[in-house]
Amino acid sequence: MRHFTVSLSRVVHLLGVLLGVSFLVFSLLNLLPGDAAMAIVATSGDTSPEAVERIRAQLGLDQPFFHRYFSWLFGVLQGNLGQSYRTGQTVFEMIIERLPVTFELMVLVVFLSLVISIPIAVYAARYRDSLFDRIVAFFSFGLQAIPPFMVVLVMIVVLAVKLALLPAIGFAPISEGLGANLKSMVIPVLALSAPLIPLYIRVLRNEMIRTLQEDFILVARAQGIMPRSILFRYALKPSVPTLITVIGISVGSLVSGSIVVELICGLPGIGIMLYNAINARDYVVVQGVVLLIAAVYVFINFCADLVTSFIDPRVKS
Amino acid sequence: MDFKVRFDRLCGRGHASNKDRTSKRTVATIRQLPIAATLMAASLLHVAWATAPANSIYTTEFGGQGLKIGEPRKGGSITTSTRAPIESLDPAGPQITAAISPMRAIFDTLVVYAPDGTVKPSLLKSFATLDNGRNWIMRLPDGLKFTDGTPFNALAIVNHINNLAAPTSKSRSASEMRQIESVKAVGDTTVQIALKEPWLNFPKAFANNASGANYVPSPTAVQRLGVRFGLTPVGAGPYMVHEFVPGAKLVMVRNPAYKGPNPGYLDEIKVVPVIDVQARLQAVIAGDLTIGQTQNQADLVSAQASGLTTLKQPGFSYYDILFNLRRAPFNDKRMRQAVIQAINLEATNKAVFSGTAPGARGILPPQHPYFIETGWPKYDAAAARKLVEDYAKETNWNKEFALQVTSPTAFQKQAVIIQQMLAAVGIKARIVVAEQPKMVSDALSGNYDAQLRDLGIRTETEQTLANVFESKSKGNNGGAGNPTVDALLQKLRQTATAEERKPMIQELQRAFTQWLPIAPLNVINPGVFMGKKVAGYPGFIADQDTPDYTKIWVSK
Repeated sequence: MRHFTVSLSRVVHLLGVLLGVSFLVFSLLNLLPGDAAMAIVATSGDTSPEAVERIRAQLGLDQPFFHRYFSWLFGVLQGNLGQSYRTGQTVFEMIIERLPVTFELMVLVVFLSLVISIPIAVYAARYRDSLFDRIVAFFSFGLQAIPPFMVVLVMIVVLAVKLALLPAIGFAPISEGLGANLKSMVIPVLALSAPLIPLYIRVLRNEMIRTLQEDFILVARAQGIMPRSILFRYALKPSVPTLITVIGISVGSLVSGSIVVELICGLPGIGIMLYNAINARDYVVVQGVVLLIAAVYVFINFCADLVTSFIDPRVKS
Repeated sequence: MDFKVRFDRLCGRGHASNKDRTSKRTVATIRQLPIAATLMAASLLHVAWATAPANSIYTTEFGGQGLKIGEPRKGGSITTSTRAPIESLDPAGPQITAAISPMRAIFDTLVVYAPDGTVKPSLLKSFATLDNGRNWIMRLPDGLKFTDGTPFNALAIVNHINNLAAPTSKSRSASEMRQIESVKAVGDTTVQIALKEPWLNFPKAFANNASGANYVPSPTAVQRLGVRFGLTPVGAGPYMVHEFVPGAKLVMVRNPAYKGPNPGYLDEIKVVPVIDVQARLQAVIAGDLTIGQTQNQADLVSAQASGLTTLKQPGFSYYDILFNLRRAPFNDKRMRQAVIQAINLEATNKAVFSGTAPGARGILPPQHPYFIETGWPKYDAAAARKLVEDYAKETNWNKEFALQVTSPTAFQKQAVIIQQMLAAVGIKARIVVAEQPKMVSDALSGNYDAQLRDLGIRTETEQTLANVFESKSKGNNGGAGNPTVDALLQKLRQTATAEERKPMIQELQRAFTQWLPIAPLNVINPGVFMGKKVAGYPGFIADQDTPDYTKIWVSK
């Protein structure tokens, strides 16, 4: 019952956050100099003020700010995120078309990052200040300092050009075979995982070191329990909640990183769609995508909170 | 240089053979590069020629480089890239340059530009005026069909023109199509057009590849799909859309029922956007892309060093500073001249473009077939300083102005260097970074001092110049005109033959040199790089940064 109440209050909180985000996004886009009408006339033969006004009226941009905001919000509540002025597609349709690519990318990035970082973090904590721990720390700092676009370009040169192991650009959908699909995802996934792996290692390592100093670990050791069991059964579980929180937070940076990586690798995902929409001042699309990203971010953090409360009795209480 | 010599050179005629010219041009270019780049390119030059022998590269009729290894063959496929994503393929929609080549392949073109800037029919049988340019007749061949089975007849063209001219139209051709008073189909193959006033060069309104007028869509599909036509376009061109993911991927396959003059060689053309030039280059080296493009010839040196075939393309665009002619200080010609003379284009070329982008020397880019030397003011810091001092003393000007600039790196780098050069002659230029819509907004309202932009002047010449500089033009962002330029542009509009146009365009260039409405900077020199799979490449169409896909073929 208590879980239900907590979850309900979180959902209400989540909706409030989304409403705030929607207003903020709409306001900020409205404050930007130049609008869709300007972007259209910039590439047209008719750049007269009359042409601008005509297109503005056609797109509904001549209406007052709050009228436009509430019309859009009303549409969103009915599941209508609007329509792109460039393609005629609905924003929902555009998102559905591209979401699978970005979703797959994110899932693979988080999965790979965890698979690599958890064992390394656990052993770095176990052998604290050892040569292994120092090497891990050295590479962690290095990897975090390199931006994903640099990693992706280096990966293309090494893995696609020099070794000819992977495609340099492009995306193969699962319909073309799982192998081809995963091959097309390797470079983007490695590039986006590069800054996440050291982050997860450092967070989990520090938490593990703290946990390993707890009395119950000492008791476990005194009882002669195998070191591996102590590490993975007794010390890891209480250390994981912090990592879960960090995973939730890192989704935000993952989204921004994916825009650059999708652009360079030519992945037809949400990132490239957002980039195109911003460039063309297709604000309806930008609003829809940003709202989606905010919803995903808030939802993942909501899930992270729920999972943490299940894992950690202290949070539950 | 004499026009005939220059034009002959561009057309591939004259004393030297294509092979000789290509070799000389390569050597000349290499000499201009820094020593390190020269050594690298020279040491690896044999690799490039191993991929594309020197005698297989020729000069195209538009002054670029083309590739021809053996005889053209049918079949095969390519994956080519665009520098920007393609979101829609609707000829009546807001166009972008990236969509030009695919639209040519899907819709074919009614007319094409000849190298001298005149227009000739392509899909049309004829396009001629009945009088002095007021009434026009388009004639279509019999039996053309769109890929959905709809007949490509006169009515299809009438519908297309009406859509472009509609009040809600977002097309680049909208203002030109609104010059039409009436348009009607006479029978199946004849379109009769009456203009509001005579316009002898009216076919140019169709020939501009960046506008949608040249590409006629199936009226049945337009009616059925409405605003979504651009997602599943239906044309009568040599290729049809097999798969289109807006902004991500376009796959075109051969149209088996095509009956026009440009059947094409390839069975399949895949187009993907790759925005970063380094990623494009690496993808071509890895074989994932067949052809890539660049706006910077320094990239061609890297591509050549990696064993790719590189082809230079004609540069008809240059960076420029647009002055606000409505207000001080640039409503005074002395200050415009001061800025022009303060900027050392050789230095900006070396610093920003690795010595591959020479400075423009007039209103037309140096590669333009009609370019002549007109005594455009050269770099002279002392003269610039004096002009600034005189003007400031006379008007109490505070020697400061705002220079608006967009975000791409090439613009930013130039702005910083120009700022230093202007400081050296006593002018403080404040750099204001703004995105394109903001710059358009400010240009329209006249709320700016100067903007760093780029300008492309196509071979047709007067249409672009009139749009940007004519007093009554709605696209005249400078905000003021020049009576001599206006008169010459008006006269050119009524002159169709290349012989008559040549002296007028020369006169026009001199008039611009007297007026100095902008400061032309460095020329934008595009190029392409490709793997050994490509055996035939036509170079860019006229002066658009885009090729005709139907003229590309691949080796077995």
